[in-house]
Amino acid sequence: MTSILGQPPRRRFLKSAFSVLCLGLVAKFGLIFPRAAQATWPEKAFHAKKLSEVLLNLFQQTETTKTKRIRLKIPGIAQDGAFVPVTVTSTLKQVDRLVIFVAQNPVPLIADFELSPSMEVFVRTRIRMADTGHVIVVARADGKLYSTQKQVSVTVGGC
Amino acid sequence: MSSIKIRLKSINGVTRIRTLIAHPMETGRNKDKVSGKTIPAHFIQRIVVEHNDREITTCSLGTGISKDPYFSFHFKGGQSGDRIRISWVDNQGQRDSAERIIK
Repeated sequence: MTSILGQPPRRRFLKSAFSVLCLGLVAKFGLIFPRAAQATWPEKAFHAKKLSEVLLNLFQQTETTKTKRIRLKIPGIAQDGAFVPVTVTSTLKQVDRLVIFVAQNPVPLIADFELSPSMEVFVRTRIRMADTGHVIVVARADGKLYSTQKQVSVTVGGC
Repeated sequence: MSSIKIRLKSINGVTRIRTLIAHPMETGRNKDKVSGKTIPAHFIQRIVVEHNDREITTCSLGTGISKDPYFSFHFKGGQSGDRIRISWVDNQGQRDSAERIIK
């Protein structure tokens, strides 16, 4: 039996199934989507409520050393919790990751930055804060985790 | 028009990258004032910064970043004429990218 297209239905089915499979593989290996989509967003870390859970998810370790070599510049009193300017710098060597964490926010993990060796350890952004509390920054330097924190009073929460 | 603004400035061999992205960064907890319905979460999840097609910084973001996100980074090196490209993708699959040449 031949169909209108001149091919038996089963062969036609196999052909189309194969092309769909190929398309799936191409999409999977990122040949269609641009770069930003390739690396996966660490969903579990963003659902975690505790700093230790976040660190375990991102770095498979939880031990942090407090240091003064990370400088966290942030206002002590934030009038508007929707826009709190944060600047993180550090004199630590070989920093490849920076994590900003605000424990009292509904989503405590704010951001995770991966810096290549050609970047200075410098990040500036604006974050949201729900309530008065600590802003914690964790840096990974040479495989070890270092942290620093600062208390911020929030006048109006911005979450 | 692109959602991304990029400003580059070279000072003593360090390129200051500043970017401002127009994006609502909805947390998914806000309610529409008129209809009373919850506005679905809509936020940027990944940002990639590239120097001549080589990734120099990637960021994973949650809803803790303010509306219309602003970032600044310092890139060591970068010659005049080099290209800095910034691209983002959000949780709804929308994406955008923009590039600028170092003067």
